[in-house]
Amino acid sequence: MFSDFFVVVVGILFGTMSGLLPGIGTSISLIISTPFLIQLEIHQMFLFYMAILSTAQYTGTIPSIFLNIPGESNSMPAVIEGSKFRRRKLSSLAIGLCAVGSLFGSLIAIVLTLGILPVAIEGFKIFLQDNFKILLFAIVFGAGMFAFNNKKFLLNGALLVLGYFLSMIGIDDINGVYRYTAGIESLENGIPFYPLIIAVMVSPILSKTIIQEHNMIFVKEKITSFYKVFVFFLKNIKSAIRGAVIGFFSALAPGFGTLLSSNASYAVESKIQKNYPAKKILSSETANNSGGFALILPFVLIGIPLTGSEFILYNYLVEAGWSPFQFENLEQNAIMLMYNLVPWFVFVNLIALIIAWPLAKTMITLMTKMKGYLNFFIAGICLATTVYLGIDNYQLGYYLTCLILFSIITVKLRKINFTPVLFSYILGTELEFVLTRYLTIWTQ
Amino acid sequence: MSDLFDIKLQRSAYKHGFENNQDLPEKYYRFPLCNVKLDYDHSLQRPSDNDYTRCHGTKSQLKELGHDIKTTFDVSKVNELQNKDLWEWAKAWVLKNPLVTLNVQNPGQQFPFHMDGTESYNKFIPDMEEKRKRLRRVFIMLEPWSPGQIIVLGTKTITHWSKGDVLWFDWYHVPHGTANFSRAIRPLLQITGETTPEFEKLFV
Repeated sequence: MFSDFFVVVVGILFGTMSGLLPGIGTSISLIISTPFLIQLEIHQMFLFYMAILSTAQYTGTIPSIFLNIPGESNSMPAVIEGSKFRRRKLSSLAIGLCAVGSLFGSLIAIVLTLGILPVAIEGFKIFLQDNFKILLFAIVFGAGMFAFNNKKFLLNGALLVLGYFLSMIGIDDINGVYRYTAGIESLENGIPFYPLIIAVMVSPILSKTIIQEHNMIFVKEKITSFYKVFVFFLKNIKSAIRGAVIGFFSALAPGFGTLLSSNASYAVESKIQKNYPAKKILSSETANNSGGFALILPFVLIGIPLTGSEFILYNYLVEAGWSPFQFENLEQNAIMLMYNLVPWFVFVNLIALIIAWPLAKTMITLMTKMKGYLNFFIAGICLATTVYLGIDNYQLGYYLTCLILFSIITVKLRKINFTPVLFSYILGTELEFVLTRYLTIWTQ
Repeated sequence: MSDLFDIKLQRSAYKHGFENNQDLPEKYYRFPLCNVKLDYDHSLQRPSDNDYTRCHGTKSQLKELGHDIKTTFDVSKVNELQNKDLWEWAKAWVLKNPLVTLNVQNPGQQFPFHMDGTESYNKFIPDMEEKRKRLRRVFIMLEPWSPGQIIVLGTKTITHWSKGDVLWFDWYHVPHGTANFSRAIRPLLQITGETTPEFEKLFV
């Protein structure tokens, strides 16, 4: 229906917004793009996601350096080190350095992937062949327990149980009976996904002001030439390489996204180069992008989602006919990755480089002008999509009721990160099938 | 890998036969069970409503294969408000408390092998064991067969039907699937209801 080019361009737009506007992460970008997303082919969903993720890694740096506020959760090193550049009226150097570093990180990530892919495929085959799904659940539930709410295991465990319980409401597919419906007919069809993700991911953020008031004061400073940035980058290339490698492997830790990538590389660089802001910011930003690519690898190759946004995409992919048993398609997925995704990944990175470097000031001025409308824009899209999906599923009243009820709970308890609920809600039914099947085999 | 289908297949007495490509015993199906006179003109039908909210069990089995139920066939409700003529006819037929849908499989559509859940009938008989004993499911063919249209019950392929032919199969035990690679639509009426002495007489 849409060309790959168009999908990537829309992804870049959402990614730009996601990086520039604090509070709008990749998850919210996916949620508000749902009407568009559900019309895409499977490989286009990956393209779209990859475009958002990659662009946001570039644009997230802009508010961090110019305004001292993190565009994304993983931009804290850029905020800390960026302020040092700002004080010396060298923000444009930092912006250029980060942009070039980001591109470098992405390219290194491709090279690393090419290097490890054949080994990874063989490794997956040997170690995951028989217990693939069980391992998937172990990883996901481990991530749910450890990566949220400051590692409060009991709370995260309770949220995982809650999500699993929500997934069980409605038809028990195995025995063909209704369960936990309390005689309410609408509940027979289970808890709908879209109102739940809005309640978990969007409502708590909308209940606060998405963008705080910030003084848009750009310090007058000399623009650093492209040549000077490149020379400066080459002088510090060792830090970029270190960041890229650390970022790539850190991103594979489930649940953390690229947060661990940027912070781990920043920590390592700080130990090595205590008083060199340029090296530290370069290392963490390179790590961000390298990690951004590594992050999608387990998901694309064997269908293991590792972050909240990947879970959201996972659900849409399965709805669109993507089999949750991707382990069997390992080789085809590797081919899709290298031939369908990587060329577009390079394209996205080049465009994002332009957005995040020569156009950086223009972009942030534009985005800050939109801030007054942003809450209405996001709330409007979420509500309209809920209504559309409710009508499409013949359950409009039920969808809206779920949206309101869940949102009241998550807003009231907004100090709690409800993401683990989504993890077990999305995989709950599959987990039940797999466990029942194993049990049936063992008891025979 | 298809966990749910495998789990459901465990309940089937024909499981071993299915897994070893053995003929489906005749006690599991009857075709044609009878032939009924039914007025149906597809050109007069309004577009299908495609409300799949009641197809939970099969939806999940399709998802395991990477299929979406919306691509298997178009479905329309048959009740007091919609397709009233068909509803009046089905209500008066031999199955008690019928639940009826009009399933139109378009050229190119297919419904891979699955086991029926009949969850939609829970409001009348919630217990699976009771359903196994009392619940019957039939397909009534609404147009004559065209080459390329098939219904497969276990290893038995059903083709060459006439308009009004009734196909009965044991929904509890028989894995089944359908496909339409002809150039014509394949509408059928699916009736699920409680058995009655009149229905059982059709087997004699």
